Amino acid sequence: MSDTPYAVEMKEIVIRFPGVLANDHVNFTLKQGEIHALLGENGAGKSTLMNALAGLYRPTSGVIKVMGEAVQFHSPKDAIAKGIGMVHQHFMLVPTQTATENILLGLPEPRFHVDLKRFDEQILALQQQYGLFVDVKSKIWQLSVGEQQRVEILKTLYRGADILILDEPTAVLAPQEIDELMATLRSLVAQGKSIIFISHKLHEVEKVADRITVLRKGKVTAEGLPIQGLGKQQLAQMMVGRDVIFRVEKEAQPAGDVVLAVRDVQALNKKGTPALRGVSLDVRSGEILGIAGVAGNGQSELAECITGLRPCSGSIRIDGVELANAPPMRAIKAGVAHVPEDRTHVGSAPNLSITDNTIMKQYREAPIGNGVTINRGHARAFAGRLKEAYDILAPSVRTLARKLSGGNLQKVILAREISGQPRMLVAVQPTRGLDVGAIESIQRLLLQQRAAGAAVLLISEELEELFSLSDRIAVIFAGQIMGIVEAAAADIATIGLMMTGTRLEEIRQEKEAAT
Amino acid sequence: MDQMLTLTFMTAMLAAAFRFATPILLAALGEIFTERSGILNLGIEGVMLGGAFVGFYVMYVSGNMWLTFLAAIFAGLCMGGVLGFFYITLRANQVVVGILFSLMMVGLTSFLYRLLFHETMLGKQERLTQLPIPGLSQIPFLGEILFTQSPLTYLALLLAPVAHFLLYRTEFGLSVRAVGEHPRAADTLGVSVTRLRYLSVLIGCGAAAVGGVFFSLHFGQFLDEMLLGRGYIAVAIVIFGQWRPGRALLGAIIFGLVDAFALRLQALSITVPFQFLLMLPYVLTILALLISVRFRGDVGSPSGPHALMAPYER
Repeated sequence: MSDTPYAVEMKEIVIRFPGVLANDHVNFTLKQGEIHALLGENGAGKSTLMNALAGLYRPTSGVIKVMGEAVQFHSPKDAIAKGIGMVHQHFMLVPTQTATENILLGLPEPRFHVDLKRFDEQILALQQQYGLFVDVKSKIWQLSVGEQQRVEILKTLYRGADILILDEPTAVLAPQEIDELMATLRSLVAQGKSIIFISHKLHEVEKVADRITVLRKGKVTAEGLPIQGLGKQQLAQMMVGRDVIFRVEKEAQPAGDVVLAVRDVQALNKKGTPALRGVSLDVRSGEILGIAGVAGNGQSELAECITGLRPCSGSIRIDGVELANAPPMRAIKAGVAHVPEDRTHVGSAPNLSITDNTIMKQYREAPIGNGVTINRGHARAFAGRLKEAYDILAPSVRTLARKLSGGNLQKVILAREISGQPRMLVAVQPTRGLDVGAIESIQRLLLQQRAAGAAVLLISEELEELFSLSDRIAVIFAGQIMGIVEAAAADIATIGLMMTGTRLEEIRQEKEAAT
Repeated sequence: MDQMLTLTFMTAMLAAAFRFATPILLAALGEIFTERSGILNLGIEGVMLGGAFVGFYVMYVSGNMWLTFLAAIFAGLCMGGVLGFFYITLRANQVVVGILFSLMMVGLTSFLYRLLFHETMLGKQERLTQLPIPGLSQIPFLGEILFTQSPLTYLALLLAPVAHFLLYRTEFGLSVRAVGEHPRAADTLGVSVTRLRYLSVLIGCGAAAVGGVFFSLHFGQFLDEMLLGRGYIAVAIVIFGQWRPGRALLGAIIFGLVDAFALRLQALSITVPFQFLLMLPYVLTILALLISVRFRGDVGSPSGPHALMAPYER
């Protein structure tokens, strides 16, 4: 065993960006034929370390060895030549080109003329070998996220990669797709590949990895530990540096009157194709209704219709007032608060201060605004109060929104939306990409709203979050509600089946037939 | 009005349409590559003017047609190098740099004109002559329209399918399109965004300069206002064509047709003030742009390649 060199050996890696020490003397080893999980919170330096291994960044100091040989990468091309392939968290695929075109991009062969048919066949053969099937002639934008990921993996395999880096590969997948991916990873390892699996989800790491390395704030807190014998709690502590409560406590409370009534809503998406095909649901006062579904099945459009940002047909009522196709102002006046999916561009104005971002709804009302001018003193005081109350970590209320971490930015947005005591809160992916600590405080704020009697529509891709926060869970697939279940009585298999297009009635019928 | 319906009138007008379409088509085909790589080159008007001037001067001095073209292409590449340096290396605002470059070229060319020709208004010089293609030019109607043109018109028409092949059937075109849609994806695969963007700007400026030469050689003189915004029209034709060579060809011909039509109408003593006729091609271009977004090509959005005007930083 001692004769076999490590597939990858990174020693004392330091990566410094202006003002930030992203990696502080990090050691990392990957054995041949193993799946090694790289664990850590957002901003811990996992992606930075791996981008250095993929040739995208150059370490300030440190040594990288691949198969026992010291290497210096000047560009991704050098890394590819050494058999390293990376599947980035945000896919590096050109949406307007076909799978084959994306795979061929940047290769020395074909030299000039591209005969797509010939290469389509080559890639089909590769698909057979690894069991990664996807239509090579489809344009990337026509493929599901899971299929796009397969294209990414094929891209690295076509380049002859032996060492695969997968950056948060499960973030965008449905439960069944995650299982498929795990199976793929095991078969890749069986065929001699070595895999680095970046994640911040403990249960996945437990399932698939052989060893783990944990990073916290750019430093290694656990180096190459075998996964056996490590508990979830222990992993979390290494990641965060303190104990984490896994379940936020939720008081039982009876739901009140119907606040939001959605009836037969149909709407188109940005591309002009149907995104919602007759959605009906109710959300009651003091209740959280979770919407589960794989990204792109109409969740965003539903939130936009309710908040007045997207034209639709059908009926959307808040406390009996019709709001379908009404301008956003009417929705706001009716008490609708919105935590949008894209917090940096829709939820906030990145180049404006915390003050300006928090008064974006309040500026019309006294004492901050009088309809013409804005009283800066009152505005700053208002922002200061919110900063205090919501524990927003920033030097001052003058700090620009873009300088805030994801968690603090989300707190600014929530503070603005919640401070008006909304009747209805629409929260889209409120905790996506946040670290464990921030997730906890955001979830707590959502539960506070529920306790205060607001109706909450929570759209999330994190099933764990939906299960722990929601009173009821509705599953959306291809713009239709597949079924609504009580969260306490729901099981993950049923939700997973609905997420991939089986209706609740069908699942129940089958169960009855089986018994 | 019945003069308009004669066969002679129609043939003459269609032949003129292809003639007028030539410089715009050349510039538009080049600009397609530039924009596909993610760079909007509004300096194209200035590059055409520069090409027109250099071509005129070299023709005046040497009288050699080949030398004239080579000089114009060389000038185009030089201007492309300068523009590329601002767009790509300095990551400057493409709209501002492009427009200012075009304005600057008006001043520079008229200054050089006076410097080199000592303020004398030159008489008309040797002009680009028609080169009827033997045999084909004898075909009735079509022969006169398509095959009795100047070599530059043939070149432009041939370059449209060549551009299509380059863009869609070669490794180069694949990389250019990738760089304009998702430069980071291209970068992670070892495709140099900088290199491809420079190449695309050079192609665009080289083609635009040849388009510019067409003006000075066609009229046999040089005037700093002779382009009348044809470079910007080429940019509009690229949008109308939804960044595809085939449709840009169609757009250029339509523009040429309206241009020719407006010119003929003036000759026919119509009661409409001629200024309105001169506006016609431009008004049509705006209208064409409005409807063009309905016919989407393979570009991600009707507003162009995804990374258009976005400088790339790793």
